[in-house]
Amino acid sequence: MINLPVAFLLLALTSLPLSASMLIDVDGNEHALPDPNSKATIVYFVTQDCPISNRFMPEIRRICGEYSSRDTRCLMAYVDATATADQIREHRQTYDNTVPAVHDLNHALVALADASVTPEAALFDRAGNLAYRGRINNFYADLGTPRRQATKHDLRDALEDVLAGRAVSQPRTQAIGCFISKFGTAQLQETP
Amino acid sequence: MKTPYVPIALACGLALLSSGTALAADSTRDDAVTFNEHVATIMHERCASCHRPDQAAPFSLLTYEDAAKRAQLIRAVTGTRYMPPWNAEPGYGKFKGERRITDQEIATLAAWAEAGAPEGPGSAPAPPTFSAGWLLGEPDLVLSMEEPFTIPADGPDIYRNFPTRVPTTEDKWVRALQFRPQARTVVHHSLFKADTSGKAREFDARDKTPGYSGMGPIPGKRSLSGWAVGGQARVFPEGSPLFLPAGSDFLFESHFHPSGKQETERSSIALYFADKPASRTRLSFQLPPRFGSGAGIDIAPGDASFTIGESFTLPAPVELYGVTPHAHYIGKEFKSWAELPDGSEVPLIWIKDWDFTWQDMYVYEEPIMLPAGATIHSRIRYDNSAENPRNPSNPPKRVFWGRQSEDEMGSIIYTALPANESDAKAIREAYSVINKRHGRQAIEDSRARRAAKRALAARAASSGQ
Repeated sequence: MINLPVAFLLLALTSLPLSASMLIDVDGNEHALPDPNSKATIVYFVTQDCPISNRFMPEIRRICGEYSSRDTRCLMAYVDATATADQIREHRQTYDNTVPAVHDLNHALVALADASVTPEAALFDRAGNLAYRGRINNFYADLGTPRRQATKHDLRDALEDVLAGRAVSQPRTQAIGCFISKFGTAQLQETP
Repeated sequence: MKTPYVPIALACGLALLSSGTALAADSTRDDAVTFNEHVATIMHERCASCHRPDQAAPFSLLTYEDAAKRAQLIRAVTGTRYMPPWNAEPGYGKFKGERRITDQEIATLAAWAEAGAPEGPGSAPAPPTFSAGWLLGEPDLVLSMEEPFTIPADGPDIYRNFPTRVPTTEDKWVRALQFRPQARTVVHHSLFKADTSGKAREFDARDKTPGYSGMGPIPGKRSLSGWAVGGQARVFPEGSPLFLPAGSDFLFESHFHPSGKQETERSSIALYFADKPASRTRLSFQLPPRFGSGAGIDIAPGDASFTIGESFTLPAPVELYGVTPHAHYIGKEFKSWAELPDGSEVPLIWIKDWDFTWQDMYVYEEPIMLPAGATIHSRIRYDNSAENPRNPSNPPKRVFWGRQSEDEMGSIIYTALPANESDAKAIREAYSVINKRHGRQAIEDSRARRAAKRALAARAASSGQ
């Protein structure tokens, strides 16, 4: 049911500067979505000042590092429309974040994945199907309730399923974090 | 069937967003909740002490933009009373520095989020100003951690103790203090102690990095209160300053939570000394005594309602000044009340969902006067089920009393002053009866615990073969 090609959705939903299926990151590099050259694409939704999102930065780096040799590509979507380019640059430096980052100014990616909080992960397969969306793991049981350590690694499990060509056993989970706000996206829509 | 709706939903969203002027028009209605008229004051009074630049909170909530882009988050965290962080149950004891928000204010914030977080006409009231220096003026002594400690980017929360040499050559009495963390986003709380035994420094020497971890015993350790996120300066009751013996080590017992990037902490504390020693005896007693070591703590895996408790009848009147609940991760509920000779009850404290990370001392707004014959009761419940997300063991394990964080403790520490100084001895003697009984039981408990642990280890070894 959710198998509609992503390119179509992007065409329908966004007005990205280049072709509809092309994302441009904050360094000016282009990233195709879907990407015929990657078995899996993870998009991490983050905000620069959400403490829960920030606490996941090391795990995000680890997952991207461990799976980079396994045909998996990572992107990071900064979703605070009011964030400045300087804030995003500083945040990436502070958290040693070399994952290609997109400023999702008009929430095209948010809509595409139906993301609602940061941090949240969307996992697309080669064809652009949304194979998984939700928490990275269950480190947070609730706001303010971190566990000693995560006991369920939902995103890693989903990745293993996608890389093995299996259906993801739990394709949707509820992420715990900061709600994604549309604040600031309206002004941008009105800019000619 | 789901995807075709997405573009429609988004289109509606965009239509809504582009009609910002319509929202603004709505907000001029008398009953509309707006930032300028309603929300700014709540942010400033309830949130800004932490949520402003360069404070512990991760983001500021001073301006319209700060708050508006987090309207849904604010609604969610105030709705569950996760924020402002204050774990004591409303209406059950009235405490100083309560970080509390009213039901009406919560409803206002929810209505504001619902309305799309309008700014409203006019301008917001000016945010409060906060003093940049020490709140109580020039301190008599400022102590800083001897070495900075590095908190890694990642991993579980860290509990660590830092002994710091006190350079005074004579005994001092501390009438007030103020703690100042350096890496504000990672320091969650710090408890202050004085150690005259040198034990803390020994533990520190054995550990290569600054400070030491664990809850190793320190004989004669004296409490000098503490600080948790949101805390300000602390002033002790007139005539009852805290004793800081000459040659002590001041101990910061600190809790850090990694933030995703490496941080360096070197905490400082400003001390204000009293001119003369305490004229009133500071009474401190625990129920159950000895952090629960004689209270029979042996909690089966899966048991969500294991409960301990103790009672103490006062032989003479006291002014109850504050309470400090203490348990580790699977402590769940604390309740304490006093039963007066006339049969009435005075609520003392109730924490329904204990969170180890908020180690507050709860100081009463006005000291509670308890007459002779009043009985103080304490009840502490533990949740050792897998459903308790704070359970450090997964699956749950049998839990005994102990000093490590996966062990449990349990007591409520009461701080009081005798109403009449001449009664101090009688009150101490009455308490010592209970304390000694628990001391004897603690020896029995410890024997039983060792035997049970041996049996568990033997079973594990045989099942492993």
